[in-house]
Amino acid sequence: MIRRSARPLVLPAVIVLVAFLTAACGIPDESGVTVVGSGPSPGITSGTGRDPGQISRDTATDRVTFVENYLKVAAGDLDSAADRMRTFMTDDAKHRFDPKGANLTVIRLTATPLWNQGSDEVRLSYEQVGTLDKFGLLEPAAEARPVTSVIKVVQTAGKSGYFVAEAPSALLINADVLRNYYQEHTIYFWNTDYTGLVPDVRYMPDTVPVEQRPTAVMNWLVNGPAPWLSVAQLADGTTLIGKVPEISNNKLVITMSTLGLPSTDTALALSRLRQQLQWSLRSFLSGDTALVLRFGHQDAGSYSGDDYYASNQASRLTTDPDSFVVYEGRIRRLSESANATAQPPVLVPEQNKDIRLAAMSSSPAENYAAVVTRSGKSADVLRVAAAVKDAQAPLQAISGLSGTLGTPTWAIIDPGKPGGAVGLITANGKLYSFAPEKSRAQPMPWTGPGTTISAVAVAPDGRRLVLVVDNKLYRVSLSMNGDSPALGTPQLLRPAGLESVTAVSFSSEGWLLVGGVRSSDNRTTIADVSIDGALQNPRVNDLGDKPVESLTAYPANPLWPNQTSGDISCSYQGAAWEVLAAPRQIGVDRLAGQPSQAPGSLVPTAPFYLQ
Amino acid sequence: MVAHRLERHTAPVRRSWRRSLQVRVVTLTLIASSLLVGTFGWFIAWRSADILLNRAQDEISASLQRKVLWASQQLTVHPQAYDPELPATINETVNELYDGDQAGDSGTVVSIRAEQYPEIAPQTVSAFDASDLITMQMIHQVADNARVARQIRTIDVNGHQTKYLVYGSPVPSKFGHLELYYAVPLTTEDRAANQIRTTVLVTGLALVVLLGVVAGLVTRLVVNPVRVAARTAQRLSAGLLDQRMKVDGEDDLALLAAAFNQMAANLQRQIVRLEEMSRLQRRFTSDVSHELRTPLTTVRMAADLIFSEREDFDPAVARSAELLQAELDRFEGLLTDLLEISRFDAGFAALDSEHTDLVPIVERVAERLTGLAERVGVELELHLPEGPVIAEVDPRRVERVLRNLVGNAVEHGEARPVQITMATDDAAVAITVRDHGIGLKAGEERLVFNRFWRADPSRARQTGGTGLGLSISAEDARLHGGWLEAWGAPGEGAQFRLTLPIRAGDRLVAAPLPLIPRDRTAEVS
Repeated sequence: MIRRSARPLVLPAVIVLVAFLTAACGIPDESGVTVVGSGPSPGITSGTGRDPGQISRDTATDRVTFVENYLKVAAGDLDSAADRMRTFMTDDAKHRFDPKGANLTVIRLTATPLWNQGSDEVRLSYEQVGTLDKFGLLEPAAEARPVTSVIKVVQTAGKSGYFVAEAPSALLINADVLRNYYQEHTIYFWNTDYTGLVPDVRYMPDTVPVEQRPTAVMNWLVNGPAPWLSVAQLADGTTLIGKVPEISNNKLVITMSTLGLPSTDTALALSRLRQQLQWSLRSFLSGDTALVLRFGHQDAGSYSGDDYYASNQASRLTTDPDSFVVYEGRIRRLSESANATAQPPVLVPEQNKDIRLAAMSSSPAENYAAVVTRSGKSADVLRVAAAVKDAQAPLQAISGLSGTLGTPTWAIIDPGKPGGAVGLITANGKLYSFAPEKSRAQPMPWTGPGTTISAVAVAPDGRRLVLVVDNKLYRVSLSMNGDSPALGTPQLLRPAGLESVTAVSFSSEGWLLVGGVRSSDNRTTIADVSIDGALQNPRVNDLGDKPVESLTAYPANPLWPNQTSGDISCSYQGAAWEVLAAPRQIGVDRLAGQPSQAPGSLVPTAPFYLQ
Repeated sequence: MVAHRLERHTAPVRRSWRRSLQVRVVTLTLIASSLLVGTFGWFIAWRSADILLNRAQDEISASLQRKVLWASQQLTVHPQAYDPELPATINETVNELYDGDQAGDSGTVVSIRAEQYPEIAPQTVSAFDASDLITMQMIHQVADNARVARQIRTIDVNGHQTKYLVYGSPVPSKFGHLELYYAVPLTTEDRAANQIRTTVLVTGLALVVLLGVVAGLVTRLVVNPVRVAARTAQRLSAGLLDQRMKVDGEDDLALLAAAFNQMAANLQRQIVRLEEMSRLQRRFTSDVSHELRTPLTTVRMAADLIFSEREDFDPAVARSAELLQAELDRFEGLLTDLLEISRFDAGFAALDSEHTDLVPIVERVAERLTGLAERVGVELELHLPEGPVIAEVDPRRVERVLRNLVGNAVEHGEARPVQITMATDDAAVAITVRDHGIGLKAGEERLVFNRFWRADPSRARQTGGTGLGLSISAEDARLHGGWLEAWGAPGEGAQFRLTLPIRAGDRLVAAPLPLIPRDRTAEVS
């Protein structure tokens, strides 16, 4: 009775409560827009539109200039290169234009474009230097036959300027464009032994905004090294996450996928990676700017300072190298050079005799010396010595060599290890390697064209060689196959206008010093040639009509603003010459130490540097 | 009609409400606890949902800040909006932000839009079509006002209605700002809120029911003894004076029972004592009356003898004998009246009802008093119905009442006529006796029925009344279940009305004759 009478009163209350509870609480289905706060403040733009490479069609007043401009217009962003070239074309040509290959074809004009009055055709004579891909890598052309091509340049009614009506279906750029619309940018990879970084020169288009350049560099690194180099790639699976943001708070933050960091020896791998990146991104890391590496969402470390320099052996190069010549069969210092009053390093003074050619190299661990001696009428003997800094060691003979020996050279394979160097020498047109101790020289098989190897030069990193083979210039990588060195696949380089190459040396990480005979007038010349052979600057225009016997340069330190060496010597006509703006023979008066008693006909020969 | 039906249906409820304290307490407890529990439950559910939502908002907001930072850092590489690489960067960024979020395959949505740069297409990454998620108001706040804003949206995802918390923030870049929208499903929070709500609801209902049951039980504990007390009191009032409550323990209810029992005992003792005293008094009166009658009878016999022989006595003695005779009559009358009164007091008066025609009784009374009336010059006027007036009455008592009334009227009639009127209806018969004497003063209408009351004590008794006549008449009328009332006004005479039910035991509702006489009414009007 009580329950029954209570229910009608309670029931509505409960229903109301249930409705109230279910309706009034919980997360609503829809809500209005709630303003939480003001957004982050916008950034500041780095400037108005940057498009330095944009060459407009109608600036040319004659057909030759127009064609020269046409050979520049593809420079810059590769994806839109064809479109830029099409802006120079008639509507017909635009539709026909379908360039083969995704890369720019870098050519070198062998003559100025020729145009006959009244004609629509401009005749081009050129040779292909190589191809430039979107990773800034210039791959030298495998073959170099002269090409003659015709570009039909017309005028269209109602429109000013000229139009290309017919042209080779390729993304052509003149090699000079690399100088004006690109910047050299060296990236680095570890050699296969992880003992030092090996430079890999790339070309950065000027059209890439400054903000995007670190990203571009990172993409190059991730893409891998140039094919001719024998170096270690980044760890498998290394990818860049997103872009590399602009430097803020003095930090350049690079985010990579976690796969880029191996699970074992993480610290070592990280240390290698950051040094590689610090070198590759060095131009962006000026001042206090720190490199911050992140893997996924984890900060791996922040790196600043210059402790990374040591990973590149070229960074040890000084401004004032120890210079030597051979005089009276003895190694003598030059008076202006560093340590002029000291004894030549490594050699025991008593053994400093009968020397014809010599090479010395230093690493943090040891100094190495290789000398070619000849006493009387006996054959050349190669002797080597290795000693720690300021110590001396007796010379030891290297057997297995015969005939006329070329100038030896050292490749520092492992700067931190005693004995971590490999010597190279040409003998009877063959290349041999030798250890810095008493041993037998090992012939190094040559896989490229040609038979007679006449000169060899080693890059400061010790892993790249340039060779003169049958008076042609080749670049090749050097790698260590266990203890024995091995050559990679050689690539032919074609310095412009040189009929034959006789001597070569590295003048910096990315540039060579090449001595040869000019094809146009058979005069001997010395020029700076980029490591890919595309760019060339004359150093000595005319040395004479005899070939340069050898060239030796003390390479420029990549940390210096000036990227070419100022310390260059050569052997020419049996004498030592210093190559300045004008070549100057090194006379006896410049020898350090006691004046010589030798007859006046003797001159210093075989100049070299303690590299 | 509806109200009537409702009233009829709710009648038992309202009766229960009125009569049962337990029903009231349980109902009020249920209502009050429902309100309280409901309020608290609502508060808890609301706060829980709020906390869940706040937590989600904090997380998403923090995530959004990271995303905006990342996106804005990514955009720093683009100095201009027309950079051909920009769409690729936006696409990469959106995918990267989305990938960074897919640990739990939670169905998030990441979108970058560039409302201010129509040439840049919006990029959205989600597992479903999320075009409805971002409203125009949202876009307006974020894109036009450059505000960070949030909104809750419910959209249809693969056939399921899913709640989303949408955040939008401008992403600063060197050329202006883009907008990043980040939407996260609130599935977990919503489910948790619903579970909390259900739990609170079920718990609340259980609590309310439990409170109702507890209130019912507790009230029963209190109400039961009260009911016992009420029943006991009812029995006490019905005369069962030895009824007592059961005293259990020492609590308040035991105190109530003890106090009640004590009160009952005291009442019982007082009542017994008073009954005893009353009984003794009545017995005394009765005994005195009886005891007086025996000597009075003897005195009477002697006085009768003297009175019959008075002519032989000296005239003075003869006069004394007459006086003696008269006072003895009076004494006897007084004694008779006293005995009658004591019978009423003792409750021994019994009605001897029979169907009687009242007209002859009236006529007989008038006839008997005609002599007295003529002596004082009063004319008796009778106004009686034509036919007989049959009523179930005790004729002896009715006659005694009428004799008293007419005697009084004659006595106080001041030689003016006295009207005796009788009227009857279905239920009652009324007889009025009207005189035109000195009348009654205001307030004397009730005093006239008191024992031994006189309007004017100095006034000589002419009828030799005992002063108990009207008292006895009033008791007689009450014994019949009738009324005896008086009206009077100074100088206007008085009127007495006797009203009796036709059937014995019937309850009187109205009288066929007015108490205030009609001639008086006429005068007044």
